[in-house]
Amino acid sequence: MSSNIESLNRLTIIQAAKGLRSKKFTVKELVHSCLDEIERTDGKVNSFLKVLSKEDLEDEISKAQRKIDNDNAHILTGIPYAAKDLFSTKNIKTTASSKILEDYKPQYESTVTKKLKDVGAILIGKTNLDEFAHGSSTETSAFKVSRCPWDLDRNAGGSSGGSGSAVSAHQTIFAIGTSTAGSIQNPSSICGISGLKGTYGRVSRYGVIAMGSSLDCPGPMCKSAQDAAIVMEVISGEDRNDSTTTPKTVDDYSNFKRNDLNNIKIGYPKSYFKTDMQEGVKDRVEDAVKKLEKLGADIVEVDIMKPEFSVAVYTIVCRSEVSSNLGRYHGTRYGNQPTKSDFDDIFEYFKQSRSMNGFGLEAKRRIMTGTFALSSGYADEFYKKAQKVRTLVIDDFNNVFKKVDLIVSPTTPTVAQKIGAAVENPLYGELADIFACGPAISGLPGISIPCGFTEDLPVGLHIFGPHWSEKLCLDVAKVYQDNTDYHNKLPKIVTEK
Amino acid sequence: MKDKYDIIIGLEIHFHTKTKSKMFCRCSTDFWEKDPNTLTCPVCLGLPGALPVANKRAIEFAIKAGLAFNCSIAENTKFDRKHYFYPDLPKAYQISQYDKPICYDGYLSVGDRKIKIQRIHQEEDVAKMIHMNDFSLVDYNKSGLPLLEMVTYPEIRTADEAYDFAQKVRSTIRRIGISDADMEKGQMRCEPNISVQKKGSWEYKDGKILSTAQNLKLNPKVEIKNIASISAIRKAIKYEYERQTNELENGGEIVQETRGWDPVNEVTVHQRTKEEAADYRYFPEPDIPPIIICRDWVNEIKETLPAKAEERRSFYEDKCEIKSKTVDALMEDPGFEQRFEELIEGLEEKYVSTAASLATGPWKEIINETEIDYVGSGVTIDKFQKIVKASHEDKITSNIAKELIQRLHSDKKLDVDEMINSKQQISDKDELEEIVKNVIDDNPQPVNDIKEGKKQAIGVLIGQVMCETKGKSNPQVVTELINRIINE
Repeated sequence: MSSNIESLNRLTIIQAAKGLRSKKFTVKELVHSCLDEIERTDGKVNSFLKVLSKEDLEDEISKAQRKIDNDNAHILTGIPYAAKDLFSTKNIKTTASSKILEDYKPQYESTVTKKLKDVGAILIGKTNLDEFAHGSSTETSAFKVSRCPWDLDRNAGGSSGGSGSAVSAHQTIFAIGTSTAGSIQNPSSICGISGLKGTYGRVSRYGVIAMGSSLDCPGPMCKSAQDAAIVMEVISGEDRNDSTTTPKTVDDYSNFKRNDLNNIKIGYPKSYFKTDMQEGVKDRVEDAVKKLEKLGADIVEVDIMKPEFSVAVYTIVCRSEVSSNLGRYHGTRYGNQPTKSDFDDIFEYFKQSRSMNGFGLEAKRRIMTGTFALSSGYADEFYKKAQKVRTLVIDDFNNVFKKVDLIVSPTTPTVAQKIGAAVENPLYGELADIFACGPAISGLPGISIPCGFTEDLPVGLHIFGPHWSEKLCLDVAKVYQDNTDYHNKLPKIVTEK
Repeated sequence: MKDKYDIIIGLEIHFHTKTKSKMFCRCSTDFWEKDPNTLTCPVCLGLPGALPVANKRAIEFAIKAGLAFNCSIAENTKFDRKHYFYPDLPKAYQISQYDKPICYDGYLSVGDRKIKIQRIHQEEDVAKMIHMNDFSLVDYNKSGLPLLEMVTYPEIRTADEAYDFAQKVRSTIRRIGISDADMEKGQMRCEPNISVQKKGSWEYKDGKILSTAQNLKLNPKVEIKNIASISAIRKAIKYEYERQTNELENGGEIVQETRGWDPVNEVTVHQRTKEEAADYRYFPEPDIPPIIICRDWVNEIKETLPAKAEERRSFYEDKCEIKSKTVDALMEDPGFEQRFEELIEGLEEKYVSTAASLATGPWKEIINETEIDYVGSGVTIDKFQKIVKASHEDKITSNIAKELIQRLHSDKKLDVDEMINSKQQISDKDELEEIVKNVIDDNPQPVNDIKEGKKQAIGVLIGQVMCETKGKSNPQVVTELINRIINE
């Protein structure tokens, strides 16, 4: 068994939980195996901003072990996980990858991490992201760029890039991220893992540092759709601290019953496939669509509004909300406060604290554009018009979902990009999320799963559906994964010594 | 000068509503004299990731206020973010309401004028700042308290009218029990907007003050802040009228500005000039879904509202024939009035006057003297009504009624029926005559005094009879008897 113990980090939740129960290994061995792997590879991959130490975790490990030994454990008890550094974790630094929160330790716990804690999952670290989740490459992070484990010269996608690379590099059993446009699906696609974004309001945002409040959705990033279902079941549900969550009952996502896709109508949106994208990506996704058909699904061509409109709406709405949400970091309560000798007047003080030592370029850019879009005289032309078009996009999807149960598309138009590509294009984030913006502004759930490789880099298939169709998205993803092997492939860095 | 200029006043009145918890979190609202920053949480501190959840009771209070001020209640309402930077505003935006206030289009009658109320909307209060010499302190205990803002149309025409309006607002919100509205504790703030215009230069149309001639520019309005008492409203407006008319008379110009009231020197002082309208970048608060106020709820709330003050007063004065001074005493404190209404529930109208005399007299007195309040008092509805009836029917004297109330107040066990019986007033002339004769025989001096014309000496004799009968004799009957026997 000893050789197995060395690679416990490679297990899925299902495998790990089974091993813990059959006493093949202990919680300590499982957690340490992940921590050791982080130690071994994170210098290259850059997934983590903070890793908890073995000593830090001693109590939690023994508590989880006791629960398992006493047979009153949840399937996630003792399972190590990583959280995007946007989730407030009590007394553990939460930076949002921004210098302005470099030393911020929350005095409270986010609902999602609290729910995971309550069932005994063990937080082993906080992962890197684009600053305040602004981007799709983690290149706007004030601290580091997370690397795609399949090619370390490329970024891991974003904004939940650190969570994506951590799962892909098997530094953890699972991770959680947040999606505003496609920040869960994008790095999941780039890193070759399974990432689920729920319907807006399905998972509580309480304690998640806000990006776009009407868009943000926390969700699981896992090694399989089955694992994602398990995590989703735990973190979903109404939260009295978040009035945008719904009292609707949480489906039993992890109770999979399907062996095929018979009687499921899947929409093939012509406008999405006509969008400019990498040839190999298009081919793999077309292959996947054929596979779904083979598994019994009824593929139906559908007309959806061009994704460019959604990108425009998303950009305006999200940046408006960003400019409002970031207002509190105005330099008096957060950030590095300059000493008296460093500034002559109050304006110099704010400049020092907020601009020179605080926000990065991308955050500043979004604050400026968002402030503009909400300004008197411009709000009608930008913010209000965007909200009207948003309604049209929602109506458009609703109409399509009268004909089909789900829609598929590529998750991202390209595979992992070389580091530096994002810096050259100020709209990189939004364009990488071109397929995700429509579903995001409509609050739709969706899952990205690996559907093959092009140029040795993973390609992601996005399966999304109407509100509250998480279960169906997961069902389809699971059947696909039962019949394919892409999600089990390992990047070299995992196996090489 | 008075004939030359008109004064145009609009009021903005803010008041805290007395919910148990804050507007968007579960922190206590009981902030008065608490240690700084002890009533806070991630939400009212505006920590990253914290989310507001609207307080249903606060919205109920807002609806109550709307109904009391004759407003329409919105069917669809929502919150909006109002952005500005100040250290007392932890999120750098205040959650307020922009274009869909909970209450709109109301009015309040002052004298014979109806002053139109534009809107009453819900918002949250900011933190408290204390400015020291070279630094400032922030106390977030007050951050997030529910605050209602009422805005009138510019329809108020004199300082006295503004004073009456504010006072009526205060007594109404106290009466409906949604706020203590103590201006000194900052629970109510009143900010007048004042402009002075040459007579004939303006007209009032659709809620707006308009110039009557194209080339005639109207004088801008001045906003006055820091008014900490109702009487200061009148003083500040009067001062501002003088100041602005003097300025104009001396060829000066009025600038649009915010001025603060200095209560010590009784003057207004310049605070800041509004160079251009502040851009608050309002947009719908995405953290709180829009709210639908169903009519059933509004009707339910309507049921709980106490009758309007005017209606109650006319009931007391016209139907029950209570003196207006007694009515004043009855209605000055809404808590007291509410208890009184409970005490007279089911009582026939003919008894209400006696009930009012007893309640505003001995009962109120004893409540002020003891620690026991209305609710803890042994004067229960049932017992109070028995005393009222006995007193009204002359079974007991008013002195006895007072004594009974005093004793019952602090001793819940007393049997009121037994007490009334034992204190039954003696009105029977035969029974009293014997006692009166004895008293006359025993007190020759007062009797002589009376015979010599000093009529007030009769009091001594009545007092003696009362003493003999332990206060139970009917004073009227005793007086008659004394006069008859002495004159026989």
